[in-house]
Amino acid sequence: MGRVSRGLLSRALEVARKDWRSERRAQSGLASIGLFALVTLAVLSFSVGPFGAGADLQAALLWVLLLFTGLSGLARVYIREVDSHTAAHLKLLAGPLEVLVGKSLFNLWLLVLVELFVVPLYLVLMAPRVRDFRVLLATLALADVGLVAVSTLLAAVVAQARTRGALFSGLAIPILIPLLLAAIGGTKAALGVTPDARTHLVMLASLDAVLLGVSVFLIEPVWNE
Amino acid sequence: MRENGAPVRLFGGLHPGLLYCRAMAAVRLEARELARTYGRRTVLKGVSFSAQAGQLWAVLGPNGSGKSTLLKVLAGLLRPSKGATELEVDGRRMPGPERRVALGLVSPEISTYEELTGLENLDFAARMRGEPREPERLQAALEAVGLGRAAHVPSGSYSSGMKQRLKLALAVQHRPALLLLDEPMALLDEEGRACVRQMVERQLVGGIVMWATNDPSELPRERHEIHLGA
Repeated sequence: MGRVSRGLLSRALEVARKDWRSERRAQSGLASIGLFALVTLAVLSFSVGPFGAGADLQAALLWVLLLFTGLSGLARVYIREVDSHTAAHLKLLAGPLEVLVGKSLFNLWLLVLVELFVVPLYLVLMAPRVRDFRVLLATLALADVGLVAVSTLLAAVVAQARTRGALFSGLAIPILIPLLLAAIGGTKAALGVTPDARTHLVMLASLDAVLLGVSVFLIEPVWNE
Repeated sequence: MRENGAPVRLFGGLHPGLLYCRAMAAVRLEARELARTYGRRTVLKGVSFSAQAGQLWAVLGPNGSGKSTLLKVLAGLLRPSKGATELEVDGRRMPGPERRVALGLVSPEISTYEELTGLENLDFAARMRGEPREPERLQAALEAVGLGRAAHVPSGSYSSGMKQRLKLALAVQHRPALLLLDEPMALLDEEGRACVRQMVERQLVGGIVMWATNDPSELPRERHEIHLGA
């Protein structure tokens, strides 16, 4: 079992590395996600401003920003394989679970890279008062895992469809609402709006476990024809 | 394998150990009553055959008769609607995950990664199969198909013929037990076609070749045939 896991993880890392190498050269995904995040943040900053929203609204706006940033770019991992006719080539080299884990790792890396830039900028432009950075970081980390798990699986689902954009958002948003609410709750706790961070962090971790489990269970029938 | 510190190379960069192993392995491919439907349309029906090592099987038929579909079913890319396939290497059945390591496929529906160089494409495939990192072996595989000088160029800038040659290199770099060729001569000049013939000759030393084509004249004379759409 240990050898199987190590083999799966090493092949998944190769898939992620391949995607990252392609992304560094094409720079299409990172650029589009980054640009979307910056434009959205600029609109929020100009329309709401640093003193125009209370802490609870600031917490919600941060997650609206991150949610739609994720939705704008995380589906590309599978769609690109289908559009460039490399999906069959990849199927000859890797099983569905290895591909899912690899592409999830790549998406997580992409999201973290964007957040490393966007979240500090949000804190500067919107100026929320963060009382507990550890809770904020834990909320970001746990919510990112859930967001990536859902986005990556649904990307595999919609990759073969014609109306991908609408289908992807239409499927993802209802599934992500509980995750979003828990993430907003954790962020509110980080901003000192509510005292209880633990409940929201436990909820996020539980949702992550469920979403990851469902992804692992569903990827085989989704990926194989 | 090294001799006096330098890697030993054969024509085409074949590792002598692999050549020996392929010659000794017994390979058998069996298909029983294969069928594949797309909605109401039946593309394959009742296809059965048994192929042994050293055999070339030509898959012939008009356009839309299911030649590419048959190869994709044999490669595990499509599930058959009915029937089953079995690949045995040295008396051992190769289930789904293991079969991937034992076969190579050249198909118009498969593309390589255009942001990666020719060498990086081969390296990725080798790593996914768990092969040791041997850059000189991969370079030799590219030279065998005439892409030695383009090894470090992104494959997106290759001509269509060069891309086809890269697909050939990817399909045979790991000396598969089963080589599936779907219109392998497409887009190739005479030198490229000669590469294909040489590859098929080498593959038939201990392996099986399934070759789908619209042009039977490009096939070797010694072959078995599967006629689809009759």
